[in-house]
Amino acid sequence: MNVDQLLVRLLIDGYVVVPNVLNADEVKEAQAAFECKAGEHETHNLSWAQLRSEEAMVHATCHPKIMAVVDAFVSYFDQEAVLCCHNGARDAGGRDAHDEVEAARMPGFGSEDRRKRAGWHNDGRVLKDVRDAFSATSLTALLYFDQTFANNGAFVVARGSHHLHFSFGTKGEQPYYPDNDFLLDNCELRPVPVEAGSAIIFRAQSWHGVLPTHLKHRRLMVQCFCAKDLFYEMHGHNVFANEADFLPAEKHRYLYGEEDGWENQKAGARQDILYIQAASSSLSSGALGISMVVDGKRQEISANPEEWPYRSALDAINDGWRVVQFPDLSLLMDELNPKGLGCEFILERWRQL
Amino acid sequence: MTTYDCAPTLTDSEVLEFCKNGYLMLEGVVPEEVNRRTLEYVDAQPQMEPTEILKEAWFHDNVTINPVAAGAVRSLLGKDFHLPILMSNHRIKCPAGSQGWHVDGNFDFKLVLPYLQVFYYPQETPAENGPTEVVPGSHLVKNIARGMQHYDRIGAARATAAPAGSIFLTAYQIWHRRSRSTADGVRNLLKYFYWRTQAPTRDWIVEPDFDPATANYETPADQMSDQFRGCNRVAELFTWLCGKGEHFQNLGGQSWPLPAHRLGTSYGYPTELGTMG
Repeated sequence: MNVDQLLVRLLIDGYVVVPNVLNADEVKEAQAAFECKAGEHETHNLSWAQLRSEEAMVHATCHPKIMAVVDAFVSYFDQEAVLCCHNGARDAGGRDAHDEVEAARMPGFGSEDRRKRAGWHNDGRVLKDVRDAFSATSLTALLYFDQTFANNGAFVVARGSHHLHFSFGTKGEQPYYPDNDFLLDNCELRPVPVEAGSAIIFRAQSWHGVLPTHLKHRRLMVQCFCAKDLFYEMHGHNVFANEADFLPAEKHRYLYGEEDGWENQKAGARQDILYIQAASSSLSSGALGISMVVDGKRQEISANPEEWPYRSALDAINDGWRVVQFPDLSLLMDELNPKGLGCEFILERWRQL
Repeated sequence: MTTYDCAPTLTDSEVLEFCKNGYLMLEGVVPEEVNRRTLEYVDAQPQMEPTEILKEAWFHDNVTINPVAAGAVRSLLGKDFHLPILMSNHRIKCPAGSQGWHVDGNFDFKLVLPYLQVFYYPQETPAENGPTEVVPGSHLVKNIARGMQHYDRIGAARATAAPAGSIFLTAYQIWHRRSRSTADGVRNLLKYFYWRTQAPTRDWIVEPDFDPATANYETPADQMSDQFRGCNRVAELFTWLCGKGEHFQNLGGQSWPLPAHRLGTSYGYPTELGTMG
């Protein structure tokens, strides 16, 4: 496995196949563990909590062959990778099942499939209230315990579609989502069949889906990874360090966060505030006034504007401050009766304690 | 009614400067002996309002109707201006942090000058003693004290650091605050008030070569408002002080009182103002 080549394909195509993550014996053990828990819980959609007592599942979680690619990808963004979500494992087979020979005679991957039957979607889009920076640096790993086929049960991907999901220079704020039909008409749509034991790693911003499955079993484990600094951007499915600390010690570096981490983050981090009153509504407009609260204390700032830490709101943004309020232009419209000190920008920065 | 009259001491240009900046510093105009007696008085009467000091003849003669200060007040408020009825002392133990920016309460925000707030430093007040800071021109820009407490450094602000015996006059609604002090000791700053009793008229020292049609009305307030609005407001206030307030007009664009190099008479200049004198 050449990790560099896989990374390049992941960056370009938005997905990559990592073959032979599990060997044949390990696949059998994973299948057995899955069936054991499926019987115990009477479901084919097992949560991480239901699976984590199984050694084979622990072995599959943050598997070194998967993490080699994940680490390389997240490092590309100058970040550390952590496990942010574990959706457990599921079996989508069992309905109208065919064996592999019959499966081979199933209809091919045609236009009808791509539009109506594959359930195209984009994980970055379904995540609520996350910044684009989160989805841009997040990955999902599907570790298959069963084989899939190009015309039966295969993962399908709109190759390169993550390139169409971007922000208009907004530093990772609200992203642009292309129209679905436009995307499907302009991207190469690929089925990605895999052998049992292989993994597909794809970017959260890649459009993907699944072909209708007519297999007895289509078992796979779903894990998601993100940049450590952005862990708390996602709410709802997080795996926290204390929930996965039974993983082997060598995997602990992928564990992060606490269940009450959002509150702790607020308690453990302090908001710095910067007010800049500028001559105009432009971000680059010269500051007429400035005040700054850092680490809970108002800062002494020189009376000499030449010595102020920032000459404009743009200066502050370039130093890591984030605008939380732009000037209220309605206050400026009564130009015959000027009020207040210029156009006020309010910026914040979170300081980890 | 306790009023006072004296000869005006400010010229056209100085009155206009007051209209632009909203304050006037008169350094060291009170005799040292009076400064010393004032300090003794406020040390003995350290309350916030030592109003009884106004009854002291030595204080009345040298501070309340100080010839330089009263002449400036006379210039700005006209003859028979009303004398102070209350004395405040902003007595601060230094070192102390800066105060929040504010305008004093109960102001009437209009382009008129019906009263003046005046401050007197009985002791030398360098930057280390936390002199009052003012924002020149801010009397032309409306603000409210509770909406400006988050301001800190304002680039245009000026500290009124001054020698003992200094008096400075302010337009009441000027933005100001006590600045941070670093020295040890007590800083006293006496504050009092004069009212106009007569309709405004140009009865200060008229300069023969001062021409309101071509005078420069630019003000530090220009940077706090849209282009030229500050100088328009200065011209309107100056015109009101000249007793011609009802004739003030602005015909828009490049007309008077915008600062410009024009051909001939400034377009829009009210003819009534040409006979100001």
